[in-house]
Amino acid sequence: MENLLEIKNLKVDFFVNKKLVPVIDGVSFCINKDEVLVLAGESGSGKTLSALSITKILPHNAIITSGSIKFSGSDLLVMDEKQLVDIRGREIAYIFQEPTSYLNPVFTIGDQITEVIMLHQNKNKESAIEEAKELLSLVKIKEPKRVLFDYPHQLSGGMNQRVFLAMALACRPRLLIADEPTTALDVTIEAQILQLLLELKKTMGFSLLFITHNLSIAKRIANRICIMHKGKIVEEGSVEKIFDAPEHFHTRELINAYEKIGKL
Amino acid sequence: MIKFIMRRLFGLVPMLFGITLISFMVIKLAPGKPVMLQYSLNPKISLEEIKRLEKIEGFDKPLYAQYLNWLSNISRFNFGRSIADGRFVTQKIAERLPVTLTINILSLFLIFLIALPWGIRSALRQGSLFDKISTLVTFLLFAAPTFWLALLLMQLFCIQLGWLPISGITSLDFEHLNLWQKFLDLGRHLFLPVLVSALAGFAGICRYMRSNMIEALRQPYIYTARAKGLPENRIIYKHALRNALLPIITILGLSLPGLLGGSIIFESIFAIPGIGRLFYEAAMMRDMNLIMAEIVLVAVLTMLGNLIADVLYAYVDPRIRYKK
Repeated sequence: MENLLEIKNLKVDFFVNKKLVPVIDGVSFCINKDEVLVLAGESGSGKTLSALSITKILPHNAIITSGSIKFSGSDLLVMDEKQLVDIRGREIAYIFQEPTSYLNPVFTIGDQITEVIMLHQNKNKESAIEEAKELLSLVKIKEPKRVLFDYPHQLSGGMNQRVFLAMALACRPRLLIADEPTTALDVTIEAQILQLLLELKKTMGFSLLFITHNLSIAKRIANRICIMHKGKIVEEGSVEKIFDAPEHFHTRELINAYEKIGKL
Repeated sequence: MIKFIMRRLFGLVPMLFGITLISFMVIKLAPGKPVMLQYSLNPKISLEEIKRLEKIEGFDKPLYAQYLNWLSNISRFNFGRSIADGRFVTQKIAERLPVTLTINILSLFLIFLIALPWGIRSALRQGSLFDKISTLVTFLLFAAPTFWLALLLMQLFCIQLGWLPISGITSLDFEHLNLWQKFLDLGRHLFLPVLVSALAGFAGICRYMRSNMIEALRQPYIYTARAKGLPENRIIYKHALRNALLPIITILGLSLPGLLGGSIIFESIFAIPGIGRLFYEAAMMRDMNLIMAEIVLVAVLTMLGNLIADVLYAYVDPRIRYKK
C-alpha cells in the first residue's frame, strides 16, 4: 500500500515564559490510502497538536523544531505559507471537537460553506450555493435550503457537526482529520455521526485520521491504532493486536478504562 | 423588532419620571435660591419684595406642586424661560447645540478613524515594540486629566508657537472675513478642542479594540478559518474583525448623550459657548428651568442611546434576537 501521509520524528515545542517546553517528542506514523488511523491517548498527550502540525495551523506559541511530514511525496514542513494555504481545505480538511464554537457565530452556514468552495474551486456565488445545498443533503440534513440561511447557534451540536463535515468535504479532500468530532455530542448522535463518517468515506474515498480518547470508538472504526502518551507514540498496531495483546502499560490503562465503563 | 422598540420606548417613560423627580428635588433642596440674584446685591430690598418675586416664579408653592406644575409644562414641550435673562430655555439650548455637536462629532470621528486601526495593529503585533509603546501612550492618555492636557497644548500651540488662537470659536474680525476665511478661522479655533476631546476618548477605544481583537483571534473558529485554507488577511479582516467589532457598536450608542451633552471642563477652558458651559452657568445661577431642561435632554439621550445600542447590537449579532 502507498503512504498518503508519512510523519517522521516530529517534534513540537511550546514557548512558555521564554523557555521551550517539548510537547511532542519525536512522533512518527503514517496513513495509507483509504485507511482509518485512530490516534488515541489521554488528554494532553499531544494528539491534537500532532494533527494541527500536519498543515501547520498550530497556536502561535507552538514551534515545530524538527521532523518531516510528507503528504503524497512532498514535505509539508518545508512548504511556504502560500503553498500550504492551497493544501488546507482542498487536500487536507479538518473537523473539530465542538462544532458550534468552531463555526464562526456571525456568518450563516451558507456563507461558511460557500467560502471554502469559492476559495478553492473558482466558482461563483450561485453555483457555490448549489454545491453547498448538495453537500448538506449529502450529510443528511433535511431542508438544506433553510439551513443555508441559519446561523450556527440556531442548530444543535449534531447538526453543526454535519454542517462542519459538509464544509470539510466540500473540496473532496484526500485526507480528513477528525479531532474528537463526537466528544461534545451525546451517544445517539455520536453513533449517527460515526456512521455517516464511515459511509462518506466509502463513497468519497478519503483517508481518515481519527483522534479520540475513547477506545470503544477506535475499536468500531479503526484499521490501525496508534497510542499516544506524553508526546510520544508508545504503541502501534492493528485493532486486534492492540486489544488482544497490549504491550505498553498506557494501552492497558486505556483498555481497562473502556472495559470498566462497559461493565457498569 | 418594531414591537420591541415600541415596548422599550414606553418603558423609558417611568424612568424619565424618576430621573426628573430626583433631580428636581435635589436641585430644589440645594442651598441658594434663584431669586437671590435679584436681591442679594440690593440692600434696600424688603421682605415683601422678596416674597413677591418668589410668587412670580411660583417658588412659594410646596415642592410637589412645583414639580407637578413643571411636569405639566414640559409634557406640552414648554420648558419655561431662563431666570437669568428671561429668554426661552429651548432657544438658549438650540443656540449652543451646533458648536458642541460639531466638536463632538468631529472628535468621535477622529477617535474611531485612528483608534480602530491602531488597536487592530496593536493586537496583531501583540508584545512587539509597537504594541509596548502604544500601551504606554494609551495608558498615559488614560491617566492624563483632560484639563491638564488642554492647558499644556494651549501653552505649546497658542503661546510658545503662536500657531493657534487661544480660546473662543471665532476671531474678533470674524464678521468681515469671506466664506473661506471664516471656515479657516473656525477650523483653527476648533482644532485644539477637538484634539483634546479625541485624545481622551482615543485611549479607551484603542485598548478596547485591541483586547477585542486579541480575544477574537483566540477563538476556535479562527482555527477553522485556517484549516479551510484562507489567507491570513482574510482570517483577520473577515473572521476575526467582524466579531471584534460587535462590542464597539454598543460604545457608539452609548456615546450619543456625550455628543449633545458637551463637556463642562474643556468647554470652560477653551471658552467655547457650548452646552457644557451653559449647564455650568445655569447650575451656578440656580437657573431652575434651564438646569432641568438640560437634565431632561441628557436623560432622554442616554436612554435613547442605550436603546439604539441594543437595537444595533441585535442587528449585527445574529445570536441576539429579541422575542416578538
